[in-house]
Amino acid sequence: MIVETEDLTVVFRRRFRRTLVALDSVNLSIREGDFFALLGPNGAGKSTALYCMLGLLRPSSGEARVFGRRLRPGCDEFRDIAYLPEEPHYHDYLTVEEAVTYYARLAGVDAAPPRVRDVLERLDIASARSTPVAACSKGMKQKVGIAHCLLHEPRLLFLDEPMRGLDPIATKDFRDVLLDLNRRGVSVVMNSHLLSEVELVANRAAILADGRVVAVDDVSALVDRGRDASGGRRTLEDAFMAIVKKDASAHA
Amino acid sequence: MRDRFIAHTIVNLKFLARNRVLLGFALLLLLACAVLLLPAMFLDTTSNRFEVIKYVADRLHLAAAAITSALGLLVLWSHRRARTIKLIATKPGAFDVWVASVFASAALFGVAAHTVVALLVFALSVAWGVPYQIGFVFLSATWLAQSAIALACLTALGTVCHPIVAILTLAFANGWTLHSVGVTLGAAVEAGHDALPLRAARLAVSALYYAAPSFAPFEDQMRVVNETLRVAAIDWRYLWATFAYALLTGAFGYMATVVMLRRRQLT
Repeated sequence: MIVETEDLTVVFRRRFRRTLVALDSVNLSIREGDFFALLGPNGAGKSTALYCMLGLLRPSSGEARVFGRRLRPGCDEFRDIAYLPEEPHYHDYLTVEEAVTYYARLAGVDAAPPRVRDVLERLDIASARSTPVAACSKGMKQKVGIAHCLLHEPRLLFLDEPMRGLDPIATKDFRDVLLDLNRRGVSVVMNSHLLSEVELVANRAAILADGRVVAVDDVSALVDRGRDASGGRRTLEDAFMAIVKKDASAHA
Repeated sequence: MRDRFIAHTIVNLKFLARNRVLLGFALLLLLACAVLLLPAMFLDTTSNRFEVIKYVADRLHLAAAAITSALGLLVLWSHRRARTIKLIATKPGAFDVWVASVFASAALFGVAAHTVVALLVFALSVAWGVPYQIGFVFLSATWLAQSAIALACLTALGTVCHPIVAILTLAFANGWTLHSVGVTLGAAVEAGHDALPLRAARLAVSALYYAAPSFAPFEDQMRVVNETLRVAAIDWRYLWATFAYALLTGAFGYMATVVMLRRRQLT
């Protein structure tokens, strides 16, 4: 397994001794080569799970292992890992070319100007290479992250809501790049609300609700499960709604 | 490691160069400098002009030291607030190299700023025909060491609290302030106000005084240079000792910053 979580639990302490269980004994196994999607309503714990896998957040109990090890900020395993954050949290005072070069250098890969410009041309943002990241649209900012991934060629790619706010053209471009990376052997772990997009790219998915895993399977099997539950349902979105509602009524 | 350090340092310097708040502050200082120099245009004696140059050097070094001290805090806080720190944390060799580069960038800025002030002072001396004192160089170096001490403390404090709280904490918990508070409390006790809380407060302040950083650890020994700008051989030794103290504080500040960043939840 390339990523594994074992009884992963995160409890946030709030004011006046209140607590919020963000993750409750989450067990997940992601295989090498998978395009794995973490699905769930707002507040289900998708981003929290991703942060735990990346070592950005320490779990209250249980653990998350990547390449068989628990990640911590700056550990050597990040040579083979790339991460695209939820909001475009890039260094917005840099230009597009400077940002891509910087991230590539930090990842320890060759960031020679011709190589960087090749990647920018491939992603159709070469004309904006001198534009500050702050002045870029969300789609262009996401392409900065993708450009870094293409230079980096990681074994494992973490994406946090990557397609939120992208226009249809940018979404398709982005999807094509992700599928190409996955075909070349890059394992992908992605959080998303866009179930139609997930259905097009992911081969496996887990559905989280209230911090618990309520379903984990191949995407095709999840779609089938949705069909079984309500008779004649055909999309991942329908399956998702059926599974989440069934879980909510079971826990009501 | 070296490549990452250079990449981080270049990016930090770009951040500082493109930061509008910093630019605005620098312009404000230039304006203040021009206002300070204006009266000197109407002075005609060398001794008066010498006093003006000394005053301008002091004010400008103070401003440069204030900016340099806050740079680590500014870089750290901006990157935490914009959450770009997540991108740094998910790269190999994250915080040890990044924090080193933050200190290096601020130190480079400090060297440049104090050098510019020193050159300005030299230019003014030449222009006004005032004999140049080596004490001005000594003064610049002392201010640089003091900037480094404050930089290390503020950056480390910035990892555990809000920048304003960090600045206020350092404004109180430093050798100068604690010494003044200690002297005041001591005077009160000597004057007969020998209440237990007062004595306890005096003890606590004394303990804090020895634990807190000092911006000018050899201030008493270097007082003559600061007043007359005449430097004796022994004064250079105190200067090197001040730099050694700054290095030690810098190493402590660096380690504390790295440890605290590693302990933080980076969501």
